Amino acid sequence: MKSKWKLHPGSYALGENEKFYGDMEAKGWRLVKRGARWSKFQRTEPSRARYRAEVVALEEAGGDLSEGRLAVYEDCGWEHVAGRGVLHFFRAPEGTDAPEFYQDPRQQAETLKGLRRRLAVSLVVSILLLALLVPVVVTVYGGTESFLARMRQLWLTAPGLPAFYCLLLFSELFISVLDAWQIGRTYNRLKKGIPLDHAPKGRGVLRLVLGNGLGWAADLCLVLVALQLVFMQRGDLPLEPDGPYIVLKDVGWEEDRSAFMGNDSEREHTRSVFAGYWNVREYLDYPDRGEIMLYQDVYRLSPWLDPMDWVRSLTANQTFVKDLEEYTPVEIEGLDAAWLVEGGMEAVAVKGRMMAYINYLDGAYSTERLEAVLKALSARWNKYD
Amino acid sequence: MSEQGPMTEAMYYILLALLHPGHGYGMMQRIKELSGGRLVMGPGTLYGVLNRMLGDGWIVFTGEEGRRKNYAITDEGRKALLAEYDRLKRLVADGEMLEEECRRREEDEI
Repeated sequence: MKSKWKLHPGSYALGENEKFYGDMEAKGWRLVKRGARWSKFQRTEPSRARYRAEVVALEEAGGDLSEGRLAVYEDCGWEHVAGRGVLHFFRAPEGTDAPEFYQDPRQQAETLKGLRRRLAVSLVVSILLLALLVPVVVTVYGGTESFLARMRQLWLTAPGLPAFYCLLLFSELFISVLDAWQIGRTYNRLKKGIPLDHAPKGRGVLRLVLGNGLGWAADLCLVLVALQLVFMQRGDLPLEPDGPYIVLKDVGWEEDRSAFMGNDSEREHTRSVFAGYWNVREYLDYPDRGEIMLYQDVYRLSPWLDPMDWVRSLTANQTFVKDLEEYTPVEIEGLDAAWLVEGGMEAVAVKGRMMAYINYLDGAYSTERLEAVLKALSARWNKYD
Repeated sequence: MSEQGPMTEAMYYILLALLHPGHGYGMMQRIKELSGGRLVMGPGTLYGVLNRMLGDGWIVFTGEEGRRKNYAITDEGRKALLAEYDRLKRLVADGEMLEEECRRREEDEI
């Protein structure tokens, strides 16, 4: 039998949902299943029917619709068609004498009492948890600057991930606020003796556009993240560079590669709408000199981004020297800008749409060696572009 | 009755209907008969009140007929119903002067 899914109005917009399902049946689509955001309909002869929403009080069997209760409703002419959580929908063909569920709106208000409290409490708890979570996450990342720098890097390399979390957070928060407000407003009106409007105008456009729109955008971001993971290249570092990065051989180290603290020399490459990204780690063991290491974070930004706006984020999250202000600017032929830590192991380079953070360690802590690394990178970028 | 507040119409009629034990739908039919068709109780109201009265110990489950559950009034429920009946009778008795007042007015107008 032909079926289709359609977005329904907000979870707790009771009257809007009743009208929506009645209208769908009039068009020949009968409700068979209700999901979180979508309802499933089956093709049928168009007919007029009343739909009524019932919230099972949480105090009653944990919100379950009992068999005994179902029997009473069905005896009265109400067919249970779909339910999700504490919200259930019943249907009665037009013209039957199935009585309305409640004669007094105040009795119906009682069924919403527990749900209203639960939604309000969960909203407050969610906001409190979020308020606590933010400082915890920021602390884990080593402070606000490091956290923001990490987010900026993530935004460049895998924008779907932070976008997904932000959109999911906002959509969940928005829906929680809307649900709590909707059920609170319905409760207050019923408590005052104002009956539920079974055919209100509109379908909760705000929720449809904002709530669902944010949710879809979050889903889309998740798809982007999945695609990025599928196409991500990760593996052993090739002997000859296959991207805009250098290898230790380019600065004169010809020895065989070795493992360092259990890690092999590796290269990871990914591409997002904002940047191509290469993360390269190379190790070799030089006799009498110890471990030699070259670490590179190389970005090729999209044409609409200026590397000078992003270059500070490269150092803010590093282990030793985090502030680019503490780096010394150096002139390297072929590079637009370059910085290094004198007597250290960190360097930063910018050219055109390229930017890179380099960590080079050969035991000498020599500024000249760092400059040599930057020159090698400049030469590589010249060839690469 | 001193601790018991006034009953809602639904509670009163459900207890009245349960003087003869029965299931939910049967109760609704009896309530309609008892009230001369004035009161058509909805299943939501009925179920809400039944749950509340089960909690208060005014009614009990007596068994099941298929999916239907049968209920009966308890001694506690009967006492509560009688107390409410007395209260209503007193209300009506106290209001008898209204009837006299209306009659006097009509006579004056004539």
